[in-house]
Amino acid sequence: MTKDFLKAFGITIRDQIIMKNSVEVKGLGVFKAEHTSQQQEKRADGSIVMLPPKDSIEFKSQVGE
Amino acid sequence: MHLDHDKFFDLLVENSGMTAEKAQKQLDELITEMKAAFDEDEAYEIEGFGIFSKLGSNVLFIPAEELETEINYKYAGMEPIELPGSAETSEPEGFSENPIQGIMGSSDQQEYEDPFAALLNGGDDEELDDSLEEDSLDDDAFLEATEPELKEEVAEEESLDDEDVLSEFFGEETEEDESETESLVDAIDALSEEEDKVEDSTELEEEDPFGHLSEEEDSVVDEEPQDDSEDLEEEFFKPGPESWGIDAHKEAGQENAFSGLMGDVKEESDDEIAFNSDNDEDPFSDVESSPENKEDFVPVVTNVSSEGAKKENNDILDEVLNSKDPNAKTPKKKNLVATIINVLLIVIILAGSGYLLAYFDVIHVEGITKGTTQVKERTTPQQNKEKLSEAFDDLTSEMQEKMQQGAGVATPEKEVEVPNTNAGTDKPQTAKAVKSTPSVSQKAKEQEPPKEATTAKTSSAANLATAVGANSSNSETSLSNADYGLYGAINDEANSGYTIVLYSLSKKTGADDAVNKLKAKGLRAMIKETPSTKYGVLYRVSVGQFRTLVDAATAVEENKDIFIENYFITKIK
Repeated sequence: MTKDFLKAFGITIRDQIIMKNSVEVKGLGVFKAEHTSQQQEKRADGSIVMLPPKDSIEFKSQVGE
Repeated sequence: MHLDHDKFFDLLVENSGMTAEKAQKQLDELITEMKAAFDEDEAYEIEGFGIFSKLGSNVLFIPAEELETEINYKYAGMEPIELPGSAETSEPEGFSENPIQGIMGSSDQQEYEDPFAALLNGGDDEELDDSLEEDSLDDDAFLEATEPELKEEVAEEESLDDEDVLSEFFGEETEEDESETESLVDAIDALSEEEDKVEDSTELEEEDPFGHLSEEEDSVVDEEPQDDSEDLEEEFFKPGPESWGIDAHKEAGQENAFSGLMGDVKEESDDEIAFNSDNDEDPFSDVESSPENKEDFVPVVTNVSSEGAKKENNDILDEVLNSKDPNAKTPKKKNLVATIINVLLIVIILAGSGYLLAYFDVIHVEGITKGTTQVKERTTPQQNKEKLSEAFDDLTSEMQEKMQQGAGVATPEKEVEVPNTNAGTDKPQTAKAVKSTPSVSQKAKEQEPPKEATTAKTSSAANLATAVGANSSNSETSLSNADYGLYGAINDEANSGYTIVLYSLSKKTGADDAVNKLKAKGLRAMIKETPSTKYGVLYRVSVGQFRTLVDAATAVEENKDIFIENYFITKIK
């Protein structure tokens, strides 16, 4: 297994996540983009902050299946 | 959109640049390694992508920081923003419960915040009783070990009711105070009424644990013993600067207390002096009032307030100052003179060296350098004319080149539509006037404001033309003055002179229209094609044929209605 392959593996999944696509890798699992919109959060000191939006990756494993 | 394994694999092959078989082999190998790691309860990390970690039967994926950043590139730079006023709105919730309330028992919040507020505001009777009782407990323990007489006095103090305490606090004179005062007056007959008051105040200070707070009222009582207690109370609570600072203290009679020390006894009023003279216990009043005793108290008094001592001190100071002045001024004068002499020497040396450098042609200064005077002597009028002509030609050619390049002369962006022209042309914008043409001398000098260009151009052109025209008149004697001019028909033989360019147009049709209109006015109009690398061929519309620049400049001055701003004088050929 080469470094180039691992790099290509990561780039392929990353590009699809950026495009809000979900990617299935057989034998490993499904990568899915999750968007968290802008929201307010109340801190411990009582102040309220507006958190920026954020995209994250949700992974559903198929390893055990 | 969902990418299944096949689509993902196609993209993976494309991105990796491997063959499908090799990519499939690599992918299988990757998954096998991952499973092996999971079986051993180990995490598997792909560098720059993330960590796969097995947790029970599930596998978690923790994306790497790089991946997180890349997928959130759209939100780069966005940070949490604290909403204004959010903390304030949350404050009431946080402060709704008083954490010390249980400790303080049933006391209200005001008591907790300011335990002395009761004293300052008049206070509750119960609180005063409590505080006095606490004090009395301590005092009792102390007094049992000390004198019994003092204990009796303290017991008398404790017997005072709340009103007495308050009245003492505010400086009121109660009946008991008056009785005490009377007993003291009986005991000490020699003391005056004012001294009684003073003693009253001292007693009050000793008795009243808060006597220091009522010090100001006592002083008021001292000065105005006949005032009612109500008036004193009003004065005490009267807001304003009188009860704040220096004025209030002045009322307390502190001037009298320090008057002797400050040496201002003579400034006191007659009444005060009389009062001091009446007072037998004041040693300073006798000293100040009787000059005979001055000598006896010289060591004490003269150091503080004696005028004799002041005079002596002033004399000593004058002597010191007088002795210092000549010593201090002389070196300064000497230094100033030396500095001036040095500066003059430096200037003279610099001027001499500059002259020598110029004389020996190290630096070029006209009138000093030998070469310049010699050249001037050698140049003949004919050479002068040739040089000036060459210079003018160079400048003119330079200007034309710049115009051809469109550098600020005839650029389409700077062209202005000519009024009442180009009625039949395709684009009315093609008939445009040249704007802000830099003059010949302006080119040489460079960087002049555009609006000043016209006047500078005219004057400089006239100056240059004066030199050229004066010498060129002889060489062009074959043509008479009638062959040149602003009006009339074009004379081909007069094309060796100068013309006034009005427009630089990009289309021939517009130039023709402009020429026709100018000809209709009787002007000697012509078109000259000038190639431009940037804008192609420019058609310059000019009027007049002039033998010299002076003639052209004069024509411009005489016909300002034609030549408004956008013109320049150039050679016809």
